[in-house]
Amino acid sequence: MRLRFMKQRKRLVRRPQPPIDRWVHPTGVRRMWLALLLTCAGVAAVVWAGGRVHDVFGDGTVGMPEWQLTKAVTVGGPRRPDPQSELDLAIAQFLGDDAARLMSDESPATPEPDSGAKTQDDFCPT
Amino acid sequence: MRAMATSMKTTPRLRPPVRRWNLARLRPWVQTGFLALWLDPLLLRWHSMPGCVFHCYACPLAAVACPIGLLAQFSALHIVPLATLGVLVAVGALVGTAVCGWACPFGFMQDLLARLPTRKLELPAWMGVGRYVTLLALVLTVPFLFGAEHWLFFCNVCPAGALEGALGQSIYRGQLFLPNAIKLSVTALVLGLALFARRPWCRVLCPLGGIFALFNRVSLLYLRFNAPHCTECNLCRSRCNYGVKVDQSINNTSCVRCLECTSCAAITLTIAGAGPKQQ
Repeated sequence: MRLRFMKQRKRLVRRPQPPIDRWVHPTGVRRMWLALLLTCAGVAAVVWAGGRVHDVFGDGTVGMPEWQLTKAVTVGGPRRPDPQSELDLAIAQFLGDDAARLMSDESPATPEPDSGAKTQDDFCPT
Repeated sequence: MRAMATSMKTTPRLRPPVRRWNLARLRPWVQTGFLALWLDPLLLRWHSMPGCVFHCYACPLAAVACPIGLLAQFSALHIVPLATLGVLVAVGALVGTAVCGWACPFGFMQDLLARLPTRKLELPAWMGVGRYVTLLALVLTVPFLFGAEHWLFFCNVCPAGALEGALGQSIYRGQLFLPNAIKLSVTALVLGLALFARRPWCRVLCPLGGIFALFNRVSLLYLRFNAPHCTECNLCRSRCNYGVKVDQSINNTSCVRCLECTSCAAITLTIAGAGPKQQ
């Protein structure tokens, strides 16, 4: 009788417990250190980003700090590329300074077209 | 005999399952306070500072920059946005998705729409994967491969951009700026669904919520389920609006930490390392 009573009591007291995966759900001190480590990593990333500069590919933007770049992309991006000036710059760098000067506005004046009039030297060859 | 056995059932001692007051009652007021904060009351426009909520920087009253917009724009420039990632990791490790439940203005708007007396549908938990699909596809991959001009670039389909950016610009400048058809369709779909399901954007598509949900399992602030105090009354599951199995996986990725489940005395909001040792 006593044994039967004890079994019944044990059956009443014990309730199914939900499974707790302690690795997936760290609790207590381990969770605290993990969270603080991640927080410090995030803050360190923000601080490190404060000193970073970026060159934007294909844009001509060089050495822009990340904070300025962040603000720039919120208003439509960093300096918009000018395709013609980018092309001129690339050709000039490829051909050298003389070619760049030739491509500029300082090109030599073109000779005047021949009017067809004869000079004295034409009639008196030596 | 049965009465005797029941009277001997004294360990563990059961608490009353219902709390008379919990923090969830403060949530609308806290959300209103954060909304006032994000709406830039000092008109400083700190757009060089990444924020931690879903609030479009195209809005004339945006205090900080939207982190998802920054991730997408930097992905288009092929640059790692270290400051944005740092802010997201730090905030996520501290509070997890409590940002979504208590600070996000877009979530607040969906909460307000959910207060309308309509029948609410239950969204299946597997739809939460859509947040990571959105993050990987529209925020990272499409901008990286095709640039910011692509029609699937995230900001081109973002409902927060349509509401806060286009609508805000229209009000601010007195001219009508209509977003494109895709953005309008997504916005109409989200607003329509918000009447019949709780936070459809946050639970199905929001990439920011997906990022913060990853930190729920390790965040400093977390929910604790005290199994010895559970009377299996299912109060916690009935209070949860987001389908979380509170007694099995309380800090999973579906939770937005609205703290409605803390109406049950078996569930407490805890700071890791500060509370008593879990049994």
